[in-house]
Amino acid sequence: MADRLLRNLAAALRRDPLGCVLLALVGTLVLLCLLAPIVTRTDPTATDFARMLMPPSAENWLGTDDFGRDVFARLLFGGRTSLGVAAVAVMIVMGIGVVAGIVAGYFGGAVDLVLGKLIDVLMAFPRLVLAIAVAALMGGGIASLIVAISVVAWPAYARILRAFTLQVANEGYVQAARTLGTPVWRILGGHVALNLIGPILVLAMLDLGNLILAISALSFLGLGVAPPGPEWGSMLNEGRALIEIAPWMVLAPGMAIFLVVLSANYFADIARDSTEGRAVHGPRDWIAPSRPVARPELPSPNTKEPLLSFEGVTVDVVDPRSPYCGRRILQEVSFWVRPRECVGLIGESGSGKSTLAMLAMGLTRPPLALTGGAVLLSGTNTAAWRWDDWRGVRGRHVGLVNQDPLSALNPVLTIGDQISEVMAAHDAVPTGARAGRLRAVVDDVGLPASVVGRYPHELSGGMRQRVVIAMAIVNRPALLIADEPTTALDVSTQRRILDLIRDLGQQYGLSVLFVSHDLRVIARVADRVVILREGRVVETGTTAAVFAAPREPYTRALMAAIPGQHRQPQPVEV
Amino acid sequence: MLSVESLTKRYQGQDAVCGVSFSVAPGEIVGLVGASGSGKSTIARCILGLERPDAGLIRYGDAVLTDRAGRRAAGRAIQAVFQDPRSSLNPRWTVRRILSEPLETWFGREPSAARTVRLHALLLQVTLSADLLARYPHELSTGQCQRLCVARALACGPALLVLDEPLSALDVSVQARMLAMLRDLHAAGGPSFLLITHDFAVVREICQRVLVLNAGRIVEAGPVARVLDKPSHPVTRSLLLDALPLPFQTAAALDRWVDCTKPTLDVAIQRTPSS
Repeated sequence: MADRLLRNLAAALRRDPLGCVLLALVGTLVLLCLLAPIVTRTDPTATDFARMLMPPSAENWLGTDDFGRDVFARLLFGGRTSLGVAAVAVMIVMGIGVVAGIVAGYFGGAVDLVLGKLIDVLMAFPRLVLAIAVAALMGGGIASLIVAISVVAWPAYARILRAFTLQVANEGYVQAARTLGTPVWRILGGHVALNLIGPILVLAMLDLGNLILAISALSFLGLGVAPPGPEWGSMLNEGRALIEIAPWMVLAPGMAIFLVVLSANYFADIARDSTEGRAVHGPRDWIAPSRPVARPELPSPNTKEPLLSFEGVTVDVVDPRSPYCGRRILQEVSFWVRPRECVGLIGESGSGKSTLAMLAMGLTRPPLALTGGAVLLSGTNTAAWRWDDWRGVRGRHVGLVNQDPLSALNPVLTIGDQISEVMAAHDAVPTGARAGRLRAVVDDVGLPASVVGRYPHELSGGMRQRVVIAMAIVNRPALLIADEPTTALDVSTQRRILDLIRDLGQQYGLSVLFVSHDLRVIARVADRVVILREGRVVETGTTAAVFAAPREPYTRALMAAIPGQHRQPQPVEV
Repeated sequence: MLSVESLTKRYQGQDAVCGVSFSVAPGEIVGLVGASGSGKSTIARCILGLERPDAGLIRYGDAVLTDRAGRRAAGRAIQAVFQDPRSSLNPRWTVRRILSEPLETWFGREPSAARTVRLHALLLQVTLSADLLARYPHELSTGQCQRLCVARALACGPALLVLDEPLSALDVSVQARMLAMLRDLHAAGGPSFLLITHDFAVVREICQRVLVLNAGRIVEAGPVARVLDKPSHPVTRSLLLDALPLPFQTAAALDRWVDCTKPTLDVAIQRTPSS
């Protein structure tokens, strides 16, 4: 764990020159502060009224303040106090916050109630007012400063970490650990806290800045560092009134605080990414339209011409940041889907079948890119299409049904709103006809009319998938792409959904590209099958031909792997 | 060995499981079949002590699992493999640490070399390579992750393994290998299995006895051959009818060429991509 973190951190920094510069600057600053008595011989509290408010010079590198004290010396000695107090306070705050948050979140019940109320009470006071009260009660000094700041800061963290803990406690590996009989303290330390390290790091680094400012505020009120002693916050306050005649008094501590806070936040991000087990994907790149948008119009599916065809499609990982850069995902894949035809695309995980489905929707995104061949929709090469061109096609001419209906639906919109949204996104249905179309499509997918006003969480898995299908077909597309639409469903629901897709296909003359790893599913719906393996087409043919007499050993292996054949054959049902 | 007596569990006033009773004998493979929402997983969670039943008793030997002390006494004897292998593994732990977790809990610390030997034996049991020890779960395929979950459960030396939909996240050929591995484990004197699934094909492959669950109640129970071939309850019949059949041409064809192509099959499956 620790060495992987360091390794990732080092790798992240190598790729990030800005991070290196920040690290060098902050490292120098911290080192200078630590070695302050050696670096400068000047006493930070020695006043010299003859040298008041002198600008930076060879003698006073950062000038002098209104008491003639050397700003550079005060900056370095002040840094020791500011950074030291902030670091100790962050550790205390995080210590209490993490323990309280995790305990409250994991155990729940009475523990959660008591801790929750305590947090509520502490958070009801304005943070700074409470800190002033605590510091005043304890009577000034650095120790009481640290205590005052910690007391007011921990509840906010406890609350955030409690929420994160609730999430992690429901993860499979925590349940598995409970089943394994792992002691509670080890579950909390090894599973829960370890997986919260990202948020913990980010919170700690973000708060370093807040704490430095809080310390300076308390010092300003005379509750922290006593006035002649140097401290960044109090230096800032001293210089505030003289900002026009001696800007260096403000700039020196101001820049120091800015630099430390900025770097802390920046490192928080790098450190969080380094603790992640897997690489975080960059955002989808939005390609701005470079020319007026030409909405492609697809002809109605009456021709014999293929509706969707892949011609020698090759897809590679092209992003140099990806650890898989150069890997080939699809290798010269060619097949087509004719009007009114259902093509079953069979492949195991990693065969590239979902990449093909995404290609047909124009949703290929980095790190993948089409490096050879062409995807044709109704005979039109889509290579030149930009984001907005595709937007005119998706949901209008090509509909998508994917595996997980719950994640495909927005939990805060009613079913009716979500289906209407698809119609509103395209002008395929006139505004006046939309209510009628909504009723018709809900009926088409076999849902009761009352479902329109309901929310996704009120429906069963099968009903949700029907809603997703309704959304996909409401604009009467020519092509439906179904990517493992029944994998998350049980056998009875699966069968009904398959029959629904087949019936809708016949009713509306839909072409369907049906992607699945389950041969039994494909055998039920598809007219033709394409078998994909490691990015290549292994075998194609009509469903009957391929299932009755598979030519390739791989196809046979897949068929032999279907469970249920080792005892006796399934009861044949025609 | 394990006996469940009129187990009832309610969620928000609705019965998820209602008066379910059954038992699992040593060395037996029992299938628990039902549609989604029929209460299969709730029963598993109650047996594993992850949920507290509202009524009924779960006994393991002399221990009553429904109270905390009883669950602790049964300890490592009842273990589980869950549906989603990816989420069941801590993403920040290496394979070595994942497998060491139960060993440390139940057998204490031991010298690193002895631990490594033990870990290799566990990996071998689930036909995983020994050089996976330094890897992280995201570097493994889903099938490897699921086998790792089985190895972790076996590390405790359980008498009963609860398998909650262990195959539904896997590819067909991976499913077949997983089933073969489970069958071998059982043949080699492994634990009893309580296999939860909605797929009758899987039940037919591996189970000896089957329980059919509908809306929180057991509607039919008996030996696999009897229940699957002569179902007496309409729910069983409809579940059986809904299971997608193998295309009939294939069923006939398979008989013809399965035997002669067996070696090729294994080679072909072995060469499937692992990621």
